[in-house]
Amino acid sequence: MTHRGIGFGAIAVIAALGLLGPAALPAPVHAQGGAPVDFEPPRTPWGDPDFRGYYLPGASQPLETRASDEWQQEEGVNRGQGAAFSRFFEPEPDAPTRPARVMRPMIIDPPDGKVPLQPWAAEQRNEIMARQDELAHLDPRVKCLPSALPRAHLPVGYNTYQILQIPGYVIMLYEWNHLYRYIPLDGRPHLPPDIRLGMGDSRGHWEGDTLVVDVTNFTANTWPVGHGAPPEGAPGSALTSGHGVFHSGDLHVVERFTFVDADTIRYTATIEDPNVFTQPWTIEFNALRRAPGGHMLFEYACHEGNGRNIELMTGVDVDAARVQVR
Amino acid sequence: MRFSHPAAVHCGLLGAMLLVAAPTSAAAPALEGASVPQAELAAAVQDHPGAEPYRQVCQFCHGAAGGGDIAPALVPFGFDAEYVLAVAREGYGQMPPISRRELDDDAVRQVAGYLEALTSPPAVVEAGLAGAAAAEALEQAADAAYDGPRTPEGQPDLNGIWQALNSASWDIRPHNAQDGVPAGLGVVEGGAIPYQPWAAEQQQENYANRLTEDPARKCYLPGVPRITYMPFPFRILQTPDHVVITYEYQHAVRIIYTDGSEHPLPNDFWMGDSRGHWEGDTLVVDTTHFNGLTWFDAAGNFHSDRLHVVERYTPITPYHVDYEVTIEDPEVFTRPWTMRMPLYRRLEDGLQLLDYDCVDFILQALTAPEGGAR
Repeated sequence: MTHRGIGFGAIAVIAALGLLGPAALPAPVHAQGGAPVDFEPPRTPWGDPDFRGYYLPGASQPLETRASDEWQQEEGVNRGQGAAFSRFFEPEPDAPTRPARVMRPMIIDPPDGKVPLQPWAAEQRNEIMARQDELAHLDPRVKCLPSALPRAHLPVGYNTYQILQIPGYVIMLYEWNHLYRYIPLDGRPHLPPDIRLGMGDSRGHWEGDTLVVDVTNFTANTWPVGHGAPPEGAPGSALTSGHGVFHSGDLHVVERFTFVDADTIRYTATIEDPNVFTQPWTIEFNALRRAPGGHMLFEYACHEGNGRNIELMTGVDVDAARVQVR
Repeated sequence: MRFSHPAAVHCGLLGAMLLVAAPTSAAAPALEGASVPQAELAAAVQDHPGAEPYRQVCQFCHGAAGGGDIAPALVPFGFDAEYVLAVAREGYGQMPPISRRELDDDAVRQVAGYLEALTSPPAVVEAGLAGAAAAEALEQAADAAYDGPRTPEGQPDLNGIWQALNSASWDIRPHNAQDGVPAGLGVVEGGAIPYQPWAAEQQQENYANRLTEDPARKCYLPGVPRITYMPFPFRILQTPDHVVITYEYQHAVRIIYTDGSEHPLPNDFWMGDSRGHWEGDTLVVDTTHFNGLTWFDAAGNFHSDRLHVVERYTPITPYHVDYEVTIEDPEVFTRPWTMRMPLYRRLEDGLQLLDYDCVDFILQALTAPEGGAR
């Protein structure tokens, strides 16, 4: 996607495994799970809780419990690794099989940790994942469409965040694909229902020291979740990464950002789309870790460097298309 | 030339005679559009051969640097040298004739030339002094003019949504209309872009192929300053150590560091790297580290990766910013040049930036049925 040469999937996996080295890893994160938080953040000069600063993504953990245990990974493919990783690093024949790590999924509701897809949507998810070599079905983020929410806050390689505040607003800058959103705090209504934004339309307010954001008016061409790298060939029902889960545009997300300590923000998001899910579902994890000093957001020119990727994945020459310009 | 008679003799003879009506008042006049102190200007043109004869013979009555005294001001000077010679030889009203012994013909013509130089300084003086003084004077005037809201740090408050209102995005030069393209008088100061000869040819080639070669037609980021004058709103977010500009067009973002930090280690960016500081009420943004892959407009005006852009955002009123951009690129142009345009604050209640996701349009064009791509 960017001019940087390494495959996106490989970096995501390498980061997820902490192979970037201890210097890149966070301090051990706090226990999660909805425990009440006692930490009181400092205030901005105008009295709002102060969320300003640079943040790294949270440590990776699976989004979900897989819907089905039927699918088994092929021999010779590094277990639990993404396809891109496998192509870089040949599996060692004598290496012991890595035990599957048991980690609590981000989904805390429903309690079984599974994405509550309607049956037709679960089938559609399998279909989507089987057709990732077609441009129309390819992961929208890989095509450099917006991340949408809560996906923009799910861990992804070389992505960081900057939160700014001015009276009446919280503004979030996302390094990945230079996305941003302004969150007005004055209680104004949402945009008219026909107006659609890739990152949705955000409206925020404070509940104590928690920033609560209500997001609606999404376009329908994004995935709401999906992070890490899914194993090659796995159907949607075997994934723990969230890939292939889609939404209708009637997506409604309510987020809560709360400091659990001076450097860690716990993120809770309730995801609702009556066209796709059987019920609202909720994820929770520590999504934002304060970055070391001197950190800055770099330009992330996603589409500009993506032509070769799309061609390799789908055979389509994206750079042959022309749009109107003004 | 010879000039020796004290000028006082001439003025003394005038006595109670009526003064000749003069084209301008006796007060030191301003140059068109600027307020450059005459003394400074005179200092700048003091090397002119007419300066000393003027001082010796004319200044006593007509004032320093032609600014006027008991005789009318001579600057701005609009007479030709032969008329001046005739007046000098024959006298005019209260002005007595000036003999050839005081000022021979050449000396008179040089005095005329000196007065012309004071009126319209040569380019080198203009660039070096008068321009700077004029700019400073304009700035001071602008500083005095801005009486709108300020941030707690005392700077003009630029927070809000702004937009350019011109046709520069299509073509920064003066241009006629085409189907879908409005006409425009251009935003390039001085009119012509000073391309090196090879670059002028390249620009023409770009123009001929603009429908396929304009990087913005592939939905690539448009670079700076094109992102400013694309016909979409943008939002300025101003904090003590950052100014962030978020653009509706392709959700582009520029982070302008105003914390005194330096440009980073070598790297190249579509939107460059921006470092800013305030000069009075002007936000000055210095941008380098471009990748050379963007155009200035849809007409093929271009640059290399050595582009260096200095933008000056000067609020004039709470609703208008005077936006001045200096372009420097020794690979492509023969000298630096400037674009200038107003930026207008969007006033609609509850306005927010919407989406213009041209990546989506690219993808739609690719998956559209036959003939869907434009």
